This record gives sequence, C-alpha cells and structure tokens, in this order.
Amino acid sequence: MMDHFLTIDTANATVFCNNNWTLENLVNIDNVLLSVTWPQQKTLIFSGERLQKMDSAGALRFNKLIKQLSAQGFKITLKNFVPATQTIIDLIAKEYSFPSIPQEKPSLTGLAWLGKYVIDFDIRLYSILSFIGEIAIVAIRLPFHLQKIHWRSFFSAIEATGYRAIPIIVLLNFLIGVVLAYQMGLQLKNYGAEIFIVDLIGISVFREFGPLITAIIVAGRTGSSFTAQIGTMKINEELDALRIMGVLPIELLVVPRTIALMLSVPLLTVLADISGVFGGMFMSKHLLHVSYYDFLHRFETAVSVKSFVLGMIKAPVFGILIATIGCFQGFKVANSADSVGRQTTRSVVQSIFFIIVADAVFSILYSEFGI
Amino acid sequence: MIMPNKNELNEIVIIMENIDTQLGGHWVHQQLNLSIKRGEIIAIVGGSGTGKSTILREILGLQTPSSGDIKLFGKSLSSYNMDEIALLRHRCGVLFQQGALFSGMTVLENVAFPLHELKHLSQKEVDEIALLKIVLSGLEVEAAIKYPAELSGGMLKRAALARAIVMDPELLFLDEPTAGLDPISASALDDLLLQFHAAFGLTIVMVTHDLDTLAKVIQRIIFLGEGKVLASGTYAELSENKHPLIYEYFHNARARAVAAIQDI
Repeated sequence: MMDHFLTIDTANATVFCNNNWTLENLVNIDNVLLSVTWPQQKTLIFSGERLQKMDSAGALRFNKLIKQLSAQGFKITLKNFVPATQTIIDLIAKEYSFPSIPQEKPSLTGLAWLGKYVIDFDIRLYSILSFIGEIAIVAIRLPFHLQKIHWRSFFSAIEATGYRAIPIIVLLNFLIGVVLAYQMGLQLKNYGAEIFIVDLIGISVFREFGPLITAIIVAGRTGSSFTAQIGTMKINEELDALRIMGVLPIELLVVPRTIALMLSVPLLTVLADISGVFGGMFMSKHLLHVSYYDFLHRFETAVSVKSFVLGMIKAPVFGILIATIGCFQGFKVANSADSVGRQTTRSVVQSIFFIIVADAVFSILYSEFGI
Repeated sequence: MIMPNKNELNEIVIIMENIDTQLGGHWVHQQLNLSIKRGEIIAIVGGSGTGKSTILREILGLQTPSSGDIKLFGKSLSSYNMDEIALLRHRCGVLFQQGALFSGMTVLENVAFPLHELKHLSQKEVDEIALLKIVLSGLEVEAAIKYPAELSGGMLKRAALARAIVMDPELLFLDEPTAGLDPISASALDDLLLQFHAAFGLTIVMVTHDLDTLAKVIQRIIFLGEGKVLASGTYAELSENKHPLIYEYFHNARARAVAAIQDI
C-alpha cells in the first residue's frame, strides 16, 4: 500500500513520490500519509523522478505535507520534479498559505434577533404602505391625465388575466359544483329533501365558492406571473430604464394590471357562478333525479339576486389584492434568479392568505348588517 | 493536469471536420474545418453572426451541428457514451460570458460544486481545493463566502474562472472573458490566463473581441468569415493578410491604436 504513493529510502534520506498524485487518488494518498514513519535524519530529499502525474489537488496535498514536516523541524529539498509539476508546487507554496475557511456570520439569537425582527418588520410595513400610497397617488391623478393611461398594457393584461383564464375557471368551478352537489345531496336524500339542493348550490356557489375559487385560481395563475415578470425586469435593469425615460414603473406596470384584474376577476366570477351552478345541476340530475326543469324552476324562487350581488362585491376586492401583492413582490426581487423564485412563492401565499382573510371580513360585515 | 509527454506535445485535441450549421434559417458554418493542438492558446474571432460562440457550444456538445464531425481527444463526440461524457466534462472547463455562477450559492459553494460530484472527498478537502482555486484566481479569501450578486464584474469573472479550472481541466473554453471589464481587470485576467497556461499546461480556446488580449495572450488566431475559417495565424501574420474582412478587422482605428502600443 505504502509503495503506492511514497517510497522511503532511509539510508539516503530520500522520499520518492510514486504514481499519480491526482484528485481521484486523494483519499488513498491521505491513508498512506497517516501510516508513514519518517526517517530519523532531519534533512529529507523529496524526489519526483518516479512520479507519473501530479495535478493541483495532489500538489496541494504535497505542499501541506511539506508544511507539516517543516513545522516538525525537517529540512526539505525537492529534486527531479518535472518543470510543470515544480511550477504548480511553487505556485501553491507562493500563493496559498492554507487559510482557514471563512465562516458565515452566525445568526442572531435572543434579544438581538428580536430587535432585528421588529426593525425588519417595521421596514417591511413601511415599504408596503409606501407602495400602496404610490399606487393611490398615480391612480388618483389618472382621471385628470387620461393621456397617461397605458392602454396597450391594460388590454394585454385583460387578455392574459381574463380571457385566457376562462377555460380553467369554467372547468374547475363546474367540478366544484359537482362535488358540492354530491356531498350535500347525500345528506338531503336522507330526509327526502332533494329539491333543496337547489337552494344550497345556488347560495353557496354565488356567495362563496364562485368568487373564492376564482380568486384563488387567479392568484396562482396571474399573481405569480406578475411577480416573475416584474422581478425579471428589475434584474435586467428595465425598471431603471423606464424611470430614466420619465415613465413611472407603477404607472406602466402596476396600475394597468390592477385595473385589469379589478375588471377581469368579477367577469370571471360571473362565468364561475354559471358553471358552478351547471355542475350542481348536472350532479343533481344524476344523483338525486332532480330534472333540469325542476332545478331551474326552483332556482328562480330559491336564489335571490342579492346572493349574486353579495358575491360579486367581493370579486373586485380580491382582484386588487392579487394585483398589488403580485406587483409588490415583483418590486422586492433582489439581484438573483433565486430571489425571483422566493418572491413568486411569497406572492402566491400572501395573495391566497389575504383573499381568505378578506372573505372572512366580508362574512362578518354581512352578518353584522344582517344580509 | 496531464503531463505533456513528448508524443503528446503535438497531439491534436480538437478537430472539427466539414461542419455545417444552420441557425434560424440561414447557414452559419459551411464546410468549416479547424484543429487545435494540445497547449495552444487559441482565439476565435470574426464579425458578429459568424458563429464564434456556436463553435464553442458545438465543441462542448451543447449544440449539434447540422452535419460534420467533431473529435475531442481523438474520438468523435457522437461516439462517446454516457459514462465517457461524464469523464469528458471533467477534462473541459468553461467560463461563460456572464459567469453563470449559481446565484443561490456562495463563491466557495459554486467553485466546490463540481468537486462534490466526486462523492469520495471529505468536506474539508473539497473546501481546501476550492479555496486554492479561488486564491489562485486572484480573489481574497473573504470573497469565498460572498454571493455572486455581491461581487463586482471583475471578481465575478475570477470566481467563474476558479470554478472553470477547479477540476484541473485540459481544455479551457472562454466566451468573451474580458467583455465588460475595466482595462486594469481585463489586463489582470490576461495575466492570470497566461499564468494558468504555464502552470497547468492548459489548452485555451476563447472567443474574444479584445484586441489587447489578442495581441498579448493569444498564440494563434482563427478568423471566421463566410461560414468557414478564412485564416489562422499569429496577430502579426493576420494583420498582414490582404483579405478585405481580415484587413478591416485589424486595420480599423481601434486595431491601429493597439498595434501602436504593442509595437506590432
């Protein structure tokens, strides 16, 4: 084993390096070096004449060995290394002094952590508020500066967030209607009250499921894309380019998107309501044998326009939430691809969080006012 | 590093034979031939759209030419199997134009990344080897724990160079190494390349527009035009060439200024 990488000629105080001192053999070289007994003489000659190959990893190990031996009081000379190898050994000896690997700063603990957390929270809150303020200022000025409205940006946002989302919104809400009818229908059947499925489906879809499911899909589909688009633009310095050209990024990127979502989420919600009810109707016929005629006949009396309106009131609010959170997280992207991913995740999570919070607030308000 | 034995000195490491490449509906290369010997420092130059970077991508196997054969270390690229390709990757280092450092990792983690693929090394050894390459590339030890976003352009290039040479490759490919650097950083990078060439016996192939680099570092220039290699030779040789494309390249105002400084 030992002859593999080192041969020690004790009589002449010469150490021969053998074979390949390369990256692949590093572990074996280490093992050999652990079991070496060095000669008594304090002057050693290291010879490279039997060495086949030494790469920089091998040379690094070799230099480390020389350094250790020198520290133990050996005087070491090198001979018969081919010039290229000698160059590497010298280069490493000159440039590299085996510095300790720098450690990253330890994370804060205790009070320091708390303090940093509070201040970070403060900064975050401030940046959110100033972002909302900025949007508000631009939005309020907008009606007086109609030429400043970026129509192209607005219509392309409507197309991307509204029109292209129709298939998935319709399909998923249809399925939600099916699922609701199935779960509730089984219970109603026990009491022979099958026809009341109409009330349950109509009211729950109109008041809750239509707007909520739509908003959640839009948050996942559109909110994330807003963040990724704006974040990538920020990395490419496109936002700075806009500012230089006298266009506020908020004006071009945020306001059109916000207004677009404010319109397209309610429009999608209408489609969601219709397809949800159709899904329920379809399942009612097959599970409860309530015919389409009976269903629609009952629907007219059981579900008031009020339910529809109460649901629709929520939709634009959800739209504004998704757009502002999506854009805000886009502006928060720092200079790396990593950060785009992180902010996009955050954007979706926060959007859905605030959608559900807002929905709960609406429920409380509605119940307070008794509607 | 491979010790250049006597018979290896003149070994041809890269051959491109009759390469045709079609990109976006037009022919970039038409019957292009070139060969590169071990230990050479080569620059591929030519106007925009002459397929300089495409050549690098084709040699690296990132892109396949429409027809023709590329041989690396005497073996056709298409005949390498999966395991051999993996080994081949260790013999080639690449410095991408923007550095292409992984933004979610520190410089040390970036440079150590290829070493981790070798499973058998301990964390300490990996860090030591990576740190050696970082220091040799002219970065401070403290830069090792920084993230790419915290580095200046010159430091970024050095960090990327450290990653490119961490496996002691035999071939080093550089795509516009000095682009976007200030003259001092660019000149330091030139010196670094020469130092690595001397120490590690590297074969260096680069795409560059930097006339200073061409004059100072490069042993042989391969000039692309009209879909093929128009000429190859030293800076001095090419600047004597009468082909209109080549003449224009080496005799515009900027080139004359460089020639005056370098005394060519």
